[in-house]
Amino acid sequence: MTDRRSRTQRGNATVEFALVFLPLTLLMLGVVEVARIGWLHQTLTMSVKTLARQAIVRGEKCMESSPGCTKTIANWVQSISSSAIGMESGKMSLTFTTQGTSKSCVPVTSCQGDGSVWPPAEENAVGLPIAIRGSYEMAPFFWLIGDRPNGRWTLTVSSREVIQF
Amino acid sequence: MRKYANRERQSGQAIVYAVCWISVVVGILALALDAGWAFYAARRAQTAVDSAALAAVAKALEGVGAGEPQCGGNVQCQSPSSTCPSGGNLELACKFAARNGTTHGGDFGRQALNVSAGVSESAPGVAGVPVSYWVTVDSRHSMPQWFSGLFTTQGITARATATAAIREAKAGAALYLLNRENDCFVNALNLGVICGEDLLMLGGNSITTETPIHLASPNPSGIGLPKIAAATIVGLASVNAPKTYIRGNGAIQALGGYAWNSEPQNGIPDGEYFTDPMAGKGQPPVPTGLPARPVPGGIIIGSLLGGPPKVLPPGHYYATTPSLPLLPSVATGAPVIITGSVVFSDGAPNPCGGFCEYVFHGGLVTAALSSVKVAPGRYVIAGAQPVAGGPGAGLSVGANSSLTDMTPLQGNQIGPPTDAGEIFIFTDSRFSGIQLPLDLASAGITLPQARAGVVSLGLGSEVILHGLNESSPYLPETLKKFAPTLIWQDQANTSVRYTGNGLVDLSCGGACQQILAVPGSQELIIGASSRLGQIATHLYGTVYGPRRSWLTIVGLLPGDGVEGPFQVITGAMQMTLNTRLQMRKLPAPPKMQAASLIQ
Repeated sequence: MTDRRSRTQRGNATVEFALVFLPLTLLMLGVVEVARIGWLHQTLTMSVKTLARQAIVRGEKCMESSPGCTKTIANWVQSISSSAIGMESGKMSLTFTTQGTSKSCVPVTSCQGDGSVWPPAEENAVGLPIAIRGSYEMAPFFWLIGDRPNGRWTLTVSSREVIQF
Repeated sequence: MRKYANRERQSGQAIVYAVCWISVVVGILALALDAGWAFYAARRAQTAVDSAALAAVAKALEGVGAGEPQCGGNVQCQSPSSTCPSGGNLELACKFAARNGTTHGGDFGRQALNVSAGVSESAPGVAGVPVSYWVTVDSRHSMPQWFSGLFTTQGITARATATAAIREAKAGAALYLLNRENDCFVNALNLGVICGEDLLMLGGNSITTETPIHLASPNPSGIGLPKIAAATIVGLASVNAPKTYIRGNGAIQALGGYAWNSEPQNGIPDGEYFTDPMAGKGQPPVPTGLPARPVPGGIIIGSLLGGPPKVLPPGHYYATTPSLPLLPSVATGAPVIITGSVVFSDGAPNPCGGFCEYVFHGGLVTAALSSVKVAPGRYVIAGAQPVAGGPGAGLSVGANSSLTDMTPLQGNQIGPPTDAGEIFIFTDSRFSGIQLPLDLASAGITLPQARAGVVSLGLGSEVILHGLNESSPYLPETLKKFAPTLIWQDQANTSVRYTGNGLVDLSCGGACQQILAVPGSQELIIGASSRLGQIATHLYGTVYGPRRSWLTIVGLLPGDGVEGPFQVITGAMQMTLNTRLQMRKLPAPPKMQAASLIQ
């Protein structure tokens, strides 16, 4: 009797394990993925926002006050590369926009040697708007979530501010 | 039996697995949620500290004016890690932070707000930016551990810092046209009272500048009278300026053709660009203790036939009745008229020790073909009698006459001053500090505000004048803050009331109003001229008029113009007939105190 019950239950644990393990693993990966997306998005948002906040006090009046106020595209790129923890510079892109000009760094590593001043002298008056748009190409664990054939997903944030100084 | 034992050992394994998996999953999710919330809190805190720091220095600037900030006097100072004081400009910082969700001890004691301020030459952490007063607001928010607290005691702190400061800024724009939407006056188009006009170009006029143009009126084009667009162009006009900044929705409306080389930019918020650079400086003081110089018959006959110019020493000049036997001279209040060649100087090689002082009562007129030279100094035009119900003229230059100072032209252009320069102050006999000569006082003559500026009475006049030169050792200390002003129109000579320290009086809830003794006297006129096709009005320095006053530049013939490194600060500017303005960059523009977010 006992042997028969034992025989009928043989393999149950394996089946149960298989039934539970797969959904649980998917659930866990899903949660991890959502958390990772959240983390990357927040980090990108914070980095871009911080960059724009720094830029609004690097305008015309700042440059009048001190030559040290000048920041180049390379400086800004360096700044975001070091502040965006956990993000690969090669997958990050930035677009720097003033009222009349736009400069794109796709990816940011392509602008590491760009010595042009931003915001540019002709567009850095107090009160003028500036905008920084950041994007990050992430490869999700679940390629199905991707909106591209290659399964990559683009996180995009932007920050618009007005030059203060 | 062994199999039973196996099964018993396996019982509960699923729970262990589940707990492990769920712990990991929830842990990761918790970290992401808590970190996300911290990011949000940090961004919110940044808004709070930005507004707080800026509000504190803006409030401090009201008390400082053009003076020096002094801890415990006109500004509050405190060391880092100090919290909110009660009262003063730093309390305002805390109020602004609170309005944006950040208070010291807020969020159940998790928020800390520290405000520090000082008067050092640069703010801590902002090297290289010279300031006179700074305020740093620092916010730390220990985030509640909603989920991550289950796994770790390490919390996240959202931090935000902002520094704002009062700093000395150079007011280097070519035109500061200060009238706002509710500043009304009677304009030159016979439209009656119009409001919010900054610039009117009527005829064939042109402006060429090396520095920007600032228009403070936010009035768009096409709104109904009495409101009018920030700039109106009637006829043909061209403007060549590197930038034109217009406050708010301000715009240009044209009834004719115009070319503006660089598209004017509106949408600029109120601030430094639309602030009177002379705000808070008060008014230039007038000289005291000068001797009376009555002018019998009101006419000074200078040197004729090419002799050396007649020397006119410092003093109070005013017209009297002619000197007749047995009849004492009586002050008339009429203008003093100059013929021939004269020089306002004491005759010394370095006139008056470097700076001469003059006061004219009733106005000054140079007759046709006269030549008037002025030494560096202060020239006060203390009112003139009204003419036909309108204002008299303060300073008029006759046809083919010249009004020049001691620094000659370089080629056909005006160069930097070689002496202390001049300031022409246009006011009335009630101006603070004016000492009326006994003759005028006993005759009961008080002279109201006259039209300011240099009015051309005919063609071919030549004007060469330099404003105050800050780098000259002879410039009186009390005038240094007004450099490089050349023409100063009394702040009492406008329908907006100013306080004694040179700020628009806002105690009425908005800009306080006042009624002028002679309507229209708030006009400042500069005659544009030419000789042999070359511009003959040369100015070096700042032409200043208060808000709601206006400057009219009149050129009669094509080619008439005004050139030089000069700028205009006034309520509105009107150009009529044919006028060319060629405004070069002022090497040393006036300085102003400004409140800015600097870090």
